[in-house]
Parts: sequence; C-alpha cells; structure tokens
Amino acid sequence: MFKGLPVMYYRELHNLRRAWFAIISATVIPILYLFLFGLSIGGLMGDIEYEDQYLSYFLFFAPGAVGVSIIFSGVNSGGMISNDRYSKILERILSWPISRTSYFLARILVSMTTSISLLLFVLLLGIPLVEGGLYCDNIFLVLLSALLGIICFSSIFMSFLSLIPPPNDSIALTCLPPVIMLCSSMFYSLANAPSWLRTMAYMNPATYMTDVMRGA
Amino acid sequence: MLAIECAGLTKHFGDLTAVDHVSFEVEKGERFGLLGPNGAGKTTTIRMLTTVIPPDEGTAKVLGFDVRRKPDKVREKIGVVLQGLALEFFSTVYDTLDIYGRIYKMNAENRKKRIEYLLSEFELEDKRNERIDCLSGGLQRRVQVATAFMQPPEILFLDEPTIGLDPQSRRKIWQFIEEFSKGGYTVILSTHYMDEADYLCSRIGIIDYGKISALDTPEGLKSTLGGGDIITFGVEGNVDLLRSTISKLDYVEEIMAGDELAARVENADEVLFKLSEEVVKAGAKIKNISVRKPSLEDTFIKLTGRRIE
Repeated sequence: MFKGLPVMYYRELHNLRRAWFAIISATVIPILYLFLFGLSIGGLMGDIEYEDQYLSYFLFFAPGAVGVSIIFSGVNSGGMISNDRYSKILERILSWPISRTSYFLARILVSMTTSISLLLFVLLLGIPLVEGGLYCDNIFLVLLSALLGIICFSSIFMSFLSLIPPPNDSIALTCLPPVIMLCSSMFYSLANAPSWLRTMAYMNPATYMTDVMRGA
Repeated sequence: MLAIECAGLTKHFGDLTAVDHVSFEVEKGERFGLLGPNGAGKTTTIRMLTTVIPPDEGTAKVLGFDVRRKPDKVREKIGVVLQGLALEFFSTVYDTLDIYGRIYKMNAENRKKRIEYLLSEFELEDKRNERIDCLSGGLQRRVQVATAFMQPPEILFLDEPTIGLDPQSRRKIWQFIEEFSKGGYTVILSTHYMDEADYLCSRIGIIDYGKISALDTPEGLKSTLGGGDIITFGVEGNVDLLRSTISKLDYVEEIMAGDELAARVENADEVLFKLSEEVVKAGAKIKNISVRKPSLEDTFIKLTGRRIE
C-alpha cells in the first residue's frame, strides 16, 4: 500500500527545493497576513471577546494566520497534481512501481513538513516580537490540529483537482481558498456572525482547526 | 515464455472505440512493433499494457500478470517511454536520472555508475547539470529515453520513441534499443515510421482504426505483395484513366493504391520500356520514373488503403 513512499517523498522535497519561491511565499504570506492584517484590522476592531476573555485581534488572528498557511499548503498539493498532469509526468508516474497511495501520501507528508516548520517559525518569531506574547499552553494540541488540518486540506484540494481537468483547475484553486477561509472562524469570531454563516462555518474543517489552536 | 498475451483488448472513449478487440502475443526477447498512423490505437494499447488505463473488455497479461488484477507486479517488470515529453522540467539531467534510479531501488554506487554510463551513451555528459527546460527538444527526448534504461526492465515499452528527432539522434536511439534487446530483454515499440519498424522490429502488427490488420515479420509483410519490382511514374495527365489502362496489361501484376501512378511487375528490367510507352500512348507526359523493391509502406497502403502522413 505504501510502496515507493520514501522515494516519492524524496522526489517531492527535491522538486520543492527547486521551487524556492514557493517556499519563500509560503513563509512570507502567512507572516504578512499575521502582521499586516492582524495589526491593521486589530487597530480598527480593538479587543475581541473570546471565551469569556478579551484578546487583541492580533492574538485572536494568529491561529487563523497559521490556518492560512495550512490551506495554502493544501492548495500547493492540489496544484502539484495539476502540474504533474499538465506536464504529462503523471501518466509516467502511473507506470512506476509505486502505489497510488504513496503518490498522494508523499504530497501530504511534504505539506506536513513545510507547514509544521512554518508553524514553529511563526511561534518562535511571534513569541518574542509581540507585546503580550503569542503563547500556547499545549503545543502538542496545536501541532495535532495543524497536522489534521494539513491532511484534511491537502486531501480536499488533491481530490478536487484530480476531478477538475485543466484549464478550470487553476480557477478552482483561486476561488476555493477564500471561500474556505472566509466561511470559518479564521478571521473573525462567529459569536456575532449571522446564523447562515455560522452554519456554514460549523460545516467547515477550517473552523475546528483554528478553534483548537486558539483554545490551546 | 510469453512476455505479452492480449486477447480481445478493447477500449472506448465515449463513442469512439480506440482499440477494438486487439489480440496478439509477444515472445520473451522479441522486438515487437505496432505500426500505424496517428489515432490508430497504438498509444491506447500501450497505455493499457502499462497499467496506466484499464481495458474495457478483453484480457492482457504482461509476463503472466494480468494488467487489471496485478498492476503492481506488472509495473515492477516494465520500463516505459511515453510519446510526449514527461520530465520534471526544473530538474537537471543528472537529478532526473538519479530519481529513476531511486524509484527502481538502485543503491548509490550502482546509480552513479549507471548514470555516468547513460550520460556517455546518450552523449549528454556536458549537459549533466543543465535543467531539462533549458535543453533542445531532441536532447529532452534523449533524456526521456535514457530514463527508461536506468534499471534495465524485463519489458521496455517505447511509444513513438524517436518522434521529432534528428536522424543522428534517431540512429543513436535505434542502436541503443538494438543493444539492449541483445540482453534478452523484450521491446514493445509503437511507431508510425516505416523505416523504424523495418529496422528495429522482429515482428510487426499493423494497426489501423483500433484493429490489427496484419501481423508478421517485416519480410513476411512485404512478401504479401508477391515480390517483384514497383515502377512509379511521375506524370501529367489523368491518373485514374492511366491506372485503368495499364491495369489491363498482362505483365502488370498489380496497381498500387495511393496518389501516384505505381504498378508492381515481376521484373522491371524487362518491362520498363514497354510500360513507359503504354503510359505515353495513353496520353500522359512522364516527368520521372522510379523503380524499387516493395516496402513496408506498400504493404501498409495495400492493407489499409492509405498512406501514413
């Protein structure tokens, strides 16, 4: 079932090494989200009531920024399938002595590697830089939530992109992430959201991923 | 032992039947060719045999393993070169070959030796550190073929391996395939180049509209025309009328199908002058005349009624 998984993981990491801009953007975008969005909107909104306490928007949004990174790593996993299909290498891979499971799992493992590295980077950067500090009582719960989020969103985007042929796949990649992010608790508290939006958010895995991280 | 056994292999894409009840067998160590025009069903047949797509009907076994039931076993035994370029374009030539070595579980030392050997054989030594997307189409194709030889497979599938290559590169790849098959390996080749099929294949299946219309050795296929010589006239005049006129001559064995005025005769030396006179008498102006032995292309045209473009 996992035949060829190590070599497929190596291949993915190897390809990622060449796509250095993807690594930089995956690192920079969530940090930009966290600092620019978190600080600018935070200035407008003031503190937010969350679980019987008041938090700065920056601290409230920090788990959401990690979620942004996880969703984008899922988008990358899906995008790589499109890329393999477009460059015809997918057809060649299908005749390699590896299992189909390994092909998909290798992508999820690479997403885990990059996202967890990024999460730790955000925490390390955020803790000393932010007044009041980013903090977490249970780092293992944060990591578990992030890992489940990666598995979930990588699987969603890979399944989605496997079903949608080019050129519509790139449109799907552009449209789907904002819907997932905005219909969740990543950017705002659901306490004051309209009921239809709350219903959508509670059907969205991104809400649970963010809330677990926020609670930890 | 049989390397390939196909029986009633069929594949539909919507209303189109791309492969229509194809059956053939290939012995181990054979160089077998599927010859046909674009869209004949060659690539679809190879895609089914290499487990990329499942057949809709019929059975196919590769080294005794059913492609539908034991695709993993089949993939362990085969190497594939696809028709289109299928490479990691941002990887270097060396890294591309290295990945293939890893896929086939070669250890580091063997991998390195094999890569050096292939770089030398395919004349890619000075391109080893260049990215694939920076190479010319011909060099990319060479890299693609080289990847299939990283770990010599028991059966090598080559789908139009020399398409778009210059004559020098084509010849190089032919020589490599020839050398490879001497090691007892089986080669399944699809091509629309007559000379390639004639040179490389020990047996050829002519495929058109998804069906195999003939299957024999190259010599056997050519002999279906009955031997002799083919005289071709380049003429100004009504070719259909000329065909009808010369077909009545007792020394003309057969009028060849196609756009040109061509006739097969038993011995061109004896009848060339007489036949030319008849063509002129029929009102045509002869621009040129050529005489040659029947080729695979003549057989193909006879069997399918069309020329491979």
